[in-house]
Amino acid sequence: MLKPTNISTYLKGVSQVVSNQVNTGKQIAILPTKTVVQIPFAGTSPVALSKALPNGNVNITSGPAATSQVRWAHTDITVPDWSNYRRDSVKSPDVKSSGTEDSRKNFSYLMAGALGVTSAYATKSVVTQFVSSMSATADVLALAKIEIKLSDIPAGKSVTFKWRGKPLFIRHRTDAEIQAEQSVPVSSLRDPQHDNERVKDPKWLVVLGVCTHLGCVPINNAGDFGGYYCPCHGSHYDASGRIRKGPAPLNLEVPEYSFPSDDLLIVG
Amino acid sequence: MASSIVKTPLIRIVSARGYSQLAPISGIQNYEIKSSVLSNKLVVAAGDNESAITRISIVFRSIHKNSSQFAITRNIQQVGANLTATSDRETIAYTLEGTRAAVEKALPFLTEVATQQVFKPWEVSDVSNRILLEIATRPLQLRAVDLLHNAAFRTGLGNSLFVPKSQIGKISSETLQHYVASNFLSGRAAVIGLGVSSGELTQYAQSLKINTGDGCLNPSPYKGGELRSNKGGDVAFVAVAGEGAGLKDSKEALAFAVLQRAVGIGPQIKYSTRDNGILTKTIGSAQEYAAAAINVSYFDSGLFGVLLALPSKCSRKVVESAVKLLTSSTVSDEDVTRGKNQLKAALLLDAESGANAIHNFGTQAVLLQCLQTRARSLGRRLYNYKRCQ
Repeated sequence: MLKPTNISTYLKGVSQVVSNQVNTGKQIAILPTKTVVQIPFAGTSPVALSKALPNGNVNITSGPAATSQVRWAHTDITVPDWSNYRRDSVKSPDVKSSGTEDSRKNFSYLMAGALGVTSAYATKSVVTQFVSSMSATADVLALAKIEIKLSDIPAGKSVTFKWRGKPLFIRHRTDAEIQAEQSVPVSSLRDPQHDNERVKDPKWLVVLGVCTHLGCVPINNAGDFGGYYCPCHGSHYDASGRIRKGPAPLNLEVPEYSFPSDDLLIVG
Repeated sequence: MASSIVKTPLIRIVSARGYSQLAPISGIQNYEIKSSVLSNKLVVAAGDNESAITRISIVFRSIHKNSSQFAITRNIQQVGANLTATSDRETIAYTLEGTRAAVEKALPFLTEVATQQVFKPWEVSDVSNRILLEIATRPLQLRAVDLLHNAAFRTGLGNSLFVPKSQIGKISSETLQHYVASNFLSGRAAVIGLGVSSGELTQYAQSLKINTGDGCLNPSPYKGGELRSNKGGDVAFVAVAGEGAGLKDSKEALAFAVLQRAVGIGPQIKYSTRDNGILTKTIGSAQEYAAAAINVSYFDSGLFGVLLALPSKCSRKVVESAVKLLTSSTVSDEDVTRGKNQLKAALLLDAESGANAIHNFGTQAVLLQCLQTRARSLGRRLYNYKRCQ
């Protein structure tokens, strides 16, 4: 039975938060089946409005040649804000950017230049560090050279040193020996080399004591030519270290050496 | 279309200056239109304007019946030509345009599209969504003109240019085929060519396989009425019109065309907001609204009136004064002179475009079976036209 107090609940169009046990049977809300957004026409200007009015003759053109593309305006795309990346001096829209152009350019160029130089120096030091790690160590370099005090070697005497694991012959030649070697005709030699090509100072002959035949150590002041004689197979070298007789094909090797002073010889 | 009837070049003197210049792309202006009627009543008209662009149009007279939006897409563009179908309330024209070589290649496609239509069901159903979109995005002023026709003629000319929403997806390919078979007949067709010689075009027209016959024409008498459609927004478009002149009576049609310009169709000078027409003087020129006279002529009837775009709140006063202008107003000699001048300028400017010219020729040929090519006589008539109310 309907009581008068209950009738009003049937007439209400609102939903009930707290149920009063009366089923009103109303739908709370009706959602549209599809969303349609229609933007009503709004004239932009009298001229535009006037131009938009047809004069009555209306026709429709379609076909492959008629433009049929459709462009939608996507209003949900936000335009990115680049303010964080811009200089303070050009942020204001009221200020001419040409006024601060010089100072901005100076700053840019200075920063670019300074950073360029710094990075070039840093690169150089890093590269140097890695490259120098590949070169010989200090102890190896120390063994690579030998210093010889020449005043200890009397004239006409040949002294043997150990240099880089090999015998090294230093010969203080006499004037007669020099004269003899200078006058040897080059064409008669097996390995043609003039004496001047083999010595920097004619008084001093510096050669490696390794026979060019099979690597034996020749004997000083021996052989047919007064120079060196290899006892293994009988190669004769003269006082310029040149091969004169025997099986060896080449002259004794002359290493790198220099005379920093009159009394000092450095080999290597 | 009152204005279509006189869109041939009015004053041949204009072309004289062209002798010292290179021929423009649009060709020469004083070309001769040669028209003939074939034995099956097909009208053939050709004008060789020495243009680089050739346009050939096959036009059918039809009571507009919902098939306008069918884009019969073919691969014409591969040869660089354009094919369009243009329809208004009385005609439908298939126009092919392109360079002469391209048109020669693409001509079989035009023949196929215009005279041997095949409406495949899947193609018909494919365009439904597109039509829905186009109908939804129609501008309101176009709807106002559509509703005006609907109220004035009810059927025939009163049919909208667009398919009714309820019919989308329901028109079958057989319906379309039947429509084509009963309307696209040689007695109501014309073949128009611009930039092509008369002999070639006649030969082409004779090779077309168009069913012979005249079909039936249902005249749409003017009835009158009022229609409203609420589409929201602040701007109202109001079209008020009475019966105008049909193209049958070309003198009347010309008079209405002049009257349209005299009443005013909006600013005529570039970037100007000033309109010297009677309409603007009567309703005043406020910033918020725009007004233009509309005049449209069909074969046996027409409409003449005004189209207003104005804020809906203040529409009452403005519409009332516009109606007053239409029902009781006098046109001064000055207005008529201005109207004639504007019309002449509009016609000459319009005739310079080959696309417009071939559309106008096609409409004339298919509706009147002949072309008003005597530009001088039209011009003289326009000059002799005196004020009459």
